Amino acid sequence: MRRPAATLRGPDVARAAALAFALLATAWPAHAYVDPGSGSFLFQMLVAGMLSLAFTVRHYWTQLRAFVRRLFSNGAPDDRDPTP
Amino acid sequence: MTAIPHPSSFRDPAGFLYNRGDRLLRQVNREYAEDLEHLRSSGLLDESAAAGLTLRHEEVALADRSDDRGCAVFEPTRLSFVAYPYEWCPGQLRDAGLATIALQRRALARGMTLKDATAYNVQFHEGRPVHIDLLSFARVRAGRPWVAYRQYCQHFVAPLALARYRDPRLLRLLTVHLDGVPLDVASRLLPARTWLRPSLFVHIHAHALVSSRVADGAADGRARVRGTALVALADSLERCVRSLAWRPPAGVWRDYTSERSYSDAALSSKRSSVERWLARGAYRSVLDAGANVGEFSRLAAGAAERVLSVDADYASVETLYRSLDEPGRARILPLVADLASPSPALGWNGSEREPLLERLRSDVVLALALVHHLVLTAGAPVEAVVALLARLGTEAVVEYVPMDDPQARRLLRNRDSYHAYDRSRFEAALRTRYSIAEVAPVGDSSRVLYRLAPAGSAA
Repeated sequence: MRRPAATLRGPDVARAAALAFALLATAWPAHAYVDPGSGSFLFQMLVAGMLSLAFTVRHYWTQLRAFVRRLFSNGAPDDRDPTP
Repeated sequence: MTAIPHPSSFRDPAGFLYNRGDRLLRQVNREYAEDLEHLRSSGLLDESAAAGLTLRHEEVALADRSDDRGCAVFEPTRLSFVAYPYEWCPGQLRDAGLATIALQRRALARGMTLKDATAYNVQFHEGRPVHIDLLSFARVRAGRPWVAYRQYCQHFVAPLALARYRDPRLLRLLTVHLDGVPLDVASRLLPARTWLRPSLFVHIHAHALVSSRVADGAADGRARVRGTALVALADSLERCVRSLAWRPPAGVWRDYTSERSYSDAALSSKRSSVERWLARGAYRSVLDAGANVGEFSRLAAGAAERVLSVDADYASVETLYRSLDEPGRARILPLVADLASPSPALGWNGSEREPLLERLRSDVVLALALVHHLVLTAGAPVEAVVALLARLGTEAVVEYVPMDDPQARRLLRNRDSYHAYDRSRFEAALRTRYSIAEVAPVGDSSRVLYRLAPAGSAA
């Protein structure tokens, strides 16, 4: 199974929060030419930390569940793949 | 000899499709050489084809290239039909979205990423969604966000959320938005409660909000994400799309059978006539026009390799799509289309996406309980309906439903002006385009089935 290499770090959260604030507090004029591609890039940077955190938590939770299941099934191998 | 690129294959400078004789080939340009090498050497090319996620591409001689920009030439497996996302039911769009994100996950595991995530890169081949564009893979550039994230949301997440939380008929928006439903439009159309669904809050509402507030070029070279975040993003999108299944209202099949205005004996006589007629010719392709939940499409799948099962009703098409299993799944392609207003030529130069009527043409068209529908609901004279059928099928099996049939009477309620027909006008209309080869009663009902051969033929 894949093992996430890194989890969320404090500076990520601070950076994302500052950026989110800056973006949401600054409304550019609606008639300005907008490149949604740029927005999507920045948005990914904003949510990357949160999604990584959720992914990591889910990963370890799945492992924990599998471990507990193995514990109570007399060590029979759990052949279910938790990542579809 | 320089070939003319296929009308839908012009955006990507990495290569293009073209015809050489009756073969369809894909030239890979030199600028894609390193990506192609990685695609091969990482095993991703073979692995994704073996998993059924990508269409198999056979490498052919470089001498077959269109021009000297080419460094490799591939011949993709021929598709039996090209359908566009605006002709899919929600279940098909969802499966195409899941296949795309599965491919992105495999690509990430091999150091590559999808550089585009348009639903037009997916086709249904032998009943399964496959990615058809060999050139969609690019090597991951460290720190770079997923370039196709917004496109994936527009092509899959937004329309699926609209179908699931508003109405499946909103998938028709894809006909006007060829690059997917704009996220701000989707955000405004979705009900307020979708702001409380974390995945839709992130991928649609917040995504639209942030995108609309960022000026052009604001992120150039600055936005950076880690590799694990790309995996997490793909994982989140997969969960999101998986949760966006649209269930047709219960009882679609029940409605279909209860609306039938004739006896079981009549139905079984209709079935046996259709079955006998389809078995007599070696038909390759059948179009079941107005297929409803596909009862006769299944019958046709026993006789022909490819059956297009077309209906305008999303619930019927979704019900059929969900119920298909092998071997019918590999042969029947359910599609949502209104024959009274078929999808037109669309896209660049009006030739990027072919009109539906030019794609539907089959050896036989089944028009069972269809003609009266088009006459009474679309207001078309019976001669115009027969002319349409003649565009769709070389041969035809057509059911005559008289005006006093309970189903016709139901459609006639509140209508006082329409192109009425009787049996002699109906037959005269058939003879303008076909010759009547066989006539069979539909059991004890007043309906009649016609087997029609090409005009002037002796069959």
